[in-house]
Amino acid sequence: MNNARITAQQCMKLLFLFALGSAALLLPSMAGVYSGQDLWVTMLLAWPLVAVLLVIYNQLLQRFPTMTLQEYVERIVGKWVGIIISLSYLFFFIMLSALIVHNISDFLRTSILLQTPAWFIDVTFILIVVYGVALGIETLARTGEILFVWTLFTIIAVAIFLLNKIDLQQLLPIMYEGIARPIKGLYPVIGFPICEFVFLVFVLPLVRKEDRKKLGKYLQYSGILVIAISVLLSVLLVSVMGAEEMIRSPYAIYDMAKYIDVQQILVRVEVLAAMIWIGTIFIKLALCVYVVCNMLSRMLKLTSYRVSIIPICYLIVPVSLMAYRNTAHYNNFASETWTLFCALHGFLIPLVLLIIAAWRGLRGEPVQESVPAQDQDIPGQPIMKSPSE
Amino acid sequence: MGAFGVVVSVAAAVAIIIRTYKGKEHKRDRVFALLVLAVGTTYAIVVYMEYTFPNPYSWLEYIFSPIYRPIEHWLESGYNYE
Repeated sequence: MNNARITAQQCMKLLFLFALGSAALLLPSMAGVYSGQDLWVTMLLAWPLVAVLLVIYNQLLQRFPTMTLQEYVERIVGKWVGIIISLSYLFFFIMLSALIVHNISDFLRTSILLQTPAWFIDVTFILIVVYGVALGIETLARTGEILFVWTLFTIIAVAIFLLNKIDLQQLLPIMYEGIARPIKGLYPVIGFPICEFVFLVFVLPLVRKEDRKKLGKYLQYSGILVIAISVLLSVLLVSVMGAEEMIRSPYAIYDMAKYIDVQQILVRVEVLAAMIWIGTIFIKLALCVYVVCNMLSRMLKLTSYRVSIIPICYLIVPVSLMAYRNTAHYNNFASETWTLFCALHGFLIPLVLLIIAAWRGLRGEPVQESVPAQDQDIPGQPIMKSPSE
Repeated sequence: MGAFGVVVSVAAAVAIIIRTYKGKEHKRDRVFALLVLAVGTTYAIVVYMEYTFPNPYSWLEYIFSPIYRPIEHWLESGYNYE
């Protein structure tokens, strides 16, 4: 039996890695187009949004402690609207997974594995994800604990090694056109990655009972840590590379790591940054695939979410290959349409659900020590439903 | 991805699904897993043959473009591009 339970700390680390995932490498050039050298102000402005979003997700969890969004949406808005919303989330997470796979292959093909075809990178990466997701959320959470330490260590090491390259003059003038530019820079950040945090509404019910009280606090800690790291990276990017070069670079942090040169002894360590980035993106993709498989298995009343891992991954790879026509199309899509689509699923729908649930006084069953429905994995045994369904 | 790759990967996926979830009690699992796999295979063939096929990302751009236009106008306003 898979008694999947994760701790609040593991959840915090998963959120941190998810947030850093593909955004850390791609976001600076997208947001930098609007905010220029004030990128760090944009990241600071993102903090209240992250905090509000995490409060909404936590409030939904407090109201429906044992249920995922897919389960309580039918209670809140009725069966048919609930099914439509669930299908919409399924579509959203499949799209997100395909985007992530596309990002990783695009990055590797342009930076490291220049001659390798995209499909080979996609298939290789997705095989690891299939294995990781099949092992379950607990294994992913423990992997996250290891990667969390290494990610923080690498970011701090990169920051220290770049100290001799920093030119703080490049940060000036600060907000020379007022607050408008940093606010405009916030637009792509909202969709990528802030509203993608909606995966939490599917993962939070797996946090064990003893940790529920401090979960809200840990989530906020994670939000603060994400913002702090984002501000640090933004300051480093602008002060080392300058705003112009940062905007032109498709993978700014990777390019920034190329600047590391400590007495000509420690050079060309950008692959280290790339490895950490691949690790965080693995966690992000694995969590998305986990959510998709759980949703699909519940929707189709399958005995286990593991049944759908291979078919879903087989769908994700070709969709990622046909997603974009070229890099310009990708930049446009990720910084324009994706934000709206993401805000709809990550902010608007959860907020409306919370308001309606509060208005109607709807609440789920209290937490028990039973295994959550989505991780029941005894072959031949149907998925356990909560008594409220 | 070559035709050989598509055929081999689909065969491997089908074999894994049928072998892992055998028996009457898993019939529903098998059927739906193979159905989802069929959708994925269709997309894989489309990518390999370079056919024009519904691209979900283009749908999203089409649906959200009326909402995005005013936002784009705001985002692009106030800049001196010279």
